[in-house]
Amino acid sequence: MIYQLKCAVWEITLKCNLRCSHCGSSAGIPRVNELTTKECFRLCEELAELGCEDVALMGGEPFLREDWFSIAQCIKNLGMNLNIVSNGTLLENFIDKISELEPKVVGISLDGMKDSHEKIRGRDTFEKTVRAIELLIERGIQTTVITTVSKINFRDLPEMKKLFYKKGINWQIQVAMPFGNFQKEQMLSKEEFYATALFIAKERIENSFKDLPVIGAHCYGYYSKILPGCSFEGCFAGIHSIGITSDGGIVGCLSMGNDRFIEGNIREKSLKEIWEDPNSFAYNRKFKKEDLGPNCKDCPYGVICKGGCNSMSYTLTQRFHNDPYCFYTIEKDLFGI
Amino acid sequence: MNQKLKEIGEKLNLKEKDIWRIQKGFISKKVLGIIVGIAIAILAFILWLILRRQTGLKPSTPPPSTPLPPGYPYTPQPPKPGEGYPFVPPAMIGGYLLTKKRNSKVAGFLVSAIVFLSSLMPYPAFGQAIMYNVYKKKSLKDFFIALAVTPVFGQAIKYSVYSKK
Repeated sequence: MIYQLKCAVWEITLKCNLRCSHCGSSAGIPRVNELTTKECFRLCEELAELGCEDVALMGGEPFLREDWFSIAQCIKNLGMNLNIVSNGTLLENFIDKISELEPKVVGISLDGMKDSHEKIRGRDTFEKTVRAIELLIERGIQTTVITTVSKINFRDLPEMKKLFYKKGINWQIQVAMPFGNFQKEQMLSKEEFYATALFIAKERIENSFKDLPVIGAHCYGYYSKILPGCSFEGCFAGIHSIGITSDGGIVGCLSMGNDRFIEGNIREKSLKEIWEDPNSFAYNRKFKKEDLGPNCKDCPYGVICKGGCNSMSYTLTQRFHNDPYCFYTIEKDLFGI
Repeated sequence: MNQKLKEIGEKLNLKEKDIWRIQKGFISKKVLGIIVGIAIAILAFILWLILRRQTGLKPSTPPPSTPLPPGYPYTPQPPKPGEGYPFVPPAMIGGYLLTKKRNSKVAGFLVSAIVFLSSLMPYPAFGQAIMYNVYKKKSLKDFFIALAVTPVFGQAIKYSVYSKK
């Protein structure tokens, strides 16, 4: 089978000005041997040659890399869609350059109202981030607010809605997973997780999509008997998408949080070779029913969703295809349906 | 209502009526999904019957004199007989629509109806953005781009030969 790469999420530097308590990459200090500008240009060409449609630049904080604009420009010049994910605190300095690039979307992390956000991300970050969102909206750039929920901030969701409603913002909600800086004790319980899912479902029904599109990321799902809008046909890591570390490592998804899943490095092999290697991304490309873990092996949907989000599955159970944070299972356990 | 479900909803200020609406939404989307699915299946079947009568659904062989354009692997190659799935049927539909005027109206209507009905399918709320990537709304422009650009391999050659229409 031949796979088509559609989306690359590229950590262009691990350098970050914040030290967020839930950061899966433990970002802060750049990696020892980050790709040079020339290597980044070459990688852009390789992505384009593979027909990649979307490249999302993230970090660390992408704007801390001095050549971020040249890399972003290269992506655009090669005909790919540019997405940027940022903490927003430095964005004001670069808003003209960002506008010039015409990114498809800019994602800004906002993790709650002021108290919770600053508890997670540090002092004096809330206003800067909110300002960044406003600036992007003023410039007419599609903006997605990314909220990573944990015990610290999930109760802020109803209040946060008021910040975004009818402002032309997309709102992406995802779950903090216990790797990197994030402590397992702060992770949402299954009940809290389900409460946030009910919140997403309620907002989707209550608001028209243009007023406030609320989206649960791939860690939310699957096959509920209560919540509308659940659809998931397996993890995309290595199927349509890849993650790229700032030193050139290629991984199915950057949130797997484990060097063991690096399939190769673009300094040693071309991206095409890594992508087309029949043994790459075997956990997804060679998936078979028998790979389902104990949480999923008896589930009628197991072969469709392939055991849910592999990042969630691996960080919680040390194996793939075994995601315990699954609506179908939670509903069976909690509500007996 | 399930008491536990109510308790969980209360953690984020959801009231009983909110949960009812969610459950109602689930059922109505399920029903809509079934109706749209059946309608698409019927229309697709009728379309297939029309095309079958006209073309026999056999991929055509390129004339032997047609030279292959240089530039492999970046230039799309004409399909060999019996190969080319999944690109041959859409190409055949396109060719058919252009050449058979009367029936093309029927086929055109059916394709439009299928696309329209597909757009009614419930839009997923969950599982939409890969962790650490970012969700973006699809515009009408994206829809037309998706229709216009066939997802073949090697779409972009070094230094931007590929560009979106």
